[in-house]
Amino acid sequence: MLTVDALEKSFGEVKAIDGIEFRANDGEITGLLGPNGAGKTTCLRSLFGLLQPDSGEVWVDDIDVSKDPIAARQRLGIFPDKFGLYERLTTKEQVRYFANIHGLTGDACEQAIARVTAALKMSDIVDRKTAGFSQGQRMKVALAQALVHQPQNLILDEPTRGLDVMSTRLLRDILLDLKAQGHCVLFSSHVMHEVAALCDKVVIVAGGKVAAQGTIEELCALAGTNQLEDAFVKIIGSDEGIAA
Amino acid sequence: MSGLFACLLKKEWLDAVRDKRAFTAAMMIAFVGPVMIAISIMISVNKIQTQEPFYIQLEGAEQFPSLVDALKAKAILTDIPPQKEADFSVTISPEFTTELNKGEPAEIVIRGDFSEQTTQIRLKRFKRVLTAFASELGAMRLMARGISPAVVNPFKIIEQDTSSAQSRAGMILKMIATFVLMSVFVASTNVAIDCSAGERERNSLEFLLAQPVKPLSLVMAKTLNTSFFSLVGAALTLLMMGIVIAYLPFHKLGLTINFSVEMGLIIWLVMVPLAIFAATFQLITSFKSKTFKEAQSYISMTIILPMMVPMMLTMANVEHPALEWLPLTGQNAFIADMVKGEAVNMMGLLLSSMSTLSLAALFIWLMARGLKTEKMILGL
Repeated sequence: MLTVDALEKSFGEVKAIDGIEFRANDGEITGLLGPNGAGKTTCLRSLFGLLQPDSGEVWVDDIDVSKDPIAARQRLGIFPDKFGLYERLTTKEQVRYFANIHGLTGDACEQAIARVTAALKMSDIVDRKTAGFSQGQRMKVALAQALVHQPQNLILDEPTRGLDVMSTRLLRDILLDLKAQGHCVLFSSHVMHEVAALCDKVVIVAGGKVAAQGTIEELCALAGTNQLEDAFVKIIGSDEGIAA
Repeated sequence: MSGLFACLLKKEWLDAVRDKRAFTAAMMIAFVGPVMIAISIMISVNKIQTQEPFYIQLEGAEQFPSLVDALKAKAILTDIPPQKEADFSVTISPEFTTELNKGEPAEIVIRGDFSEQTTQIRLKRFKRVLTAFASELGAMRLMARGISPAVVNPFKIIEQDTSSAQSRAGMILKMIATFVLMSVFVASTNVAIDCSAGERERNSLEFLLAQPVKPLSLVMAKTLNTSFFSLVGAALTLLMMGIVIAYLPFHKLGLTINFSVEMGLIIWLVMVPLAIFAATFQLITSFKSKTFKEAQSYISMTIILPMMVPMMLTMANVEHPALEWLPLTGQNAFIADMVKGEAVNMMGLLLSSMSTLSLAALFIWLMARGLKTEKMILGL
């Protein structure tokens, strides 16, 4: 479970987040939907404990991130906005590195790597150095390193960006699987149909504030529309930043 | 060493050592120093061994035939072949013989452009021949008048060069010290930038810092790995120095260079704190830079330090007790004393090692603190 409570954060003059509040429950997929520059990434970075909020609180399960970031991160799997792979390491070495950091060693670690390799159907790339990987292969490595330690909470920042259909479907299946197992999944996106297809709950963020939140049906009802996209435009009051 | 730290270190090591081209380039520094020393020694040996012949334009030679032979004996030639040029011209005046016979100063005019160093050296060689002639002639004149030539030499100047062969060799050994210090910095530069500003630029730093790992552990792993490369560079440089020194004809310069395996080992050990300092210094510089390129340009500026500081101190002849215990100058002084065969300042070494390590610790602390702030994580 992830809780963001009255979060505020400024970068110099720019107020990136102005009182965001939401909760992502276990066994649900929560979508953070918003135009570019709405504060999605800043909000997620606060959940990782990488940014110190100006005010407000961020919780991972029952851990206050600002008080004990290390313990909070142990319960997180992260698929970041921009993920750089270690191009001189093989997929397995890289996944093992992050498994080790999460305290997995020896047989348990190798089993975890084997499990995640099978789940992501990436046995063909597991012993290759990651230099020159396609976007889909890179996504698999990034997802593998986020999931290898079986975190209770998974946070994904625009995970479908640049992915082909096959990779997107694989990702969708993985997320639905995690939800079924009772994990908490939070992902940010500006792709409407992605969010509409996956999310149990949607938090619409615009200008550093939560414009509305609820199920897709609730949001459509609130805006008086049939489509999430129309509801989104109506709620944020512009058609800025909507992906084609 | 805990399992987590071992895993952090292993990844830094694999990532750095697999960057083969950068690794090889960094280690090339080990060859630069020894090769430069070898070349400078070979050149000076050659200069001493051969007295290069040169040509002068001699006019009025018929008045002073014995001079031509005396000059030839010292490889100063007067028959200029068509493709050669004279370095300067010498004119013996037409009244030379008359004046000489009368016992008056006989005129010899030397004309040329003496702004060039080689011409100046050649002029000296020419004058030496003339002076020898003059003093011999003068002595004979005095004896003919029944006066001992010793009368005109109230002083007998005896030069005794007390510089031992060892301390003259010290100049060369000072170069060794400089190159070893340089290797410590240069060999690890790429690793330092790559694992800090490079990691950030490749977008893997942010993800790494979002893991349950203390920034301090990360910084320590990066420091340890980077200083390891420094020490490999220093070891290679010392090894190459040893080989070059063993095969160079120092005896032809009248020099003896004692550079033993033990000495190399001691120097290497003295380099350990400096390697840690170099690693942290380069890491903090690149963490503070916004991009890889920016880090590179800052660090290439600072790399001049190990070369310039000792050189400037030598040139300016600065002597200050602080230099014995400051980072870089302390180690430099220690190596210079040791290779010159002089007494080493153990207290100075201890203090400089401590000051070096304290600074490194300060940099580590600053980095660990900085990596908790968005400024350094995101390179804002």
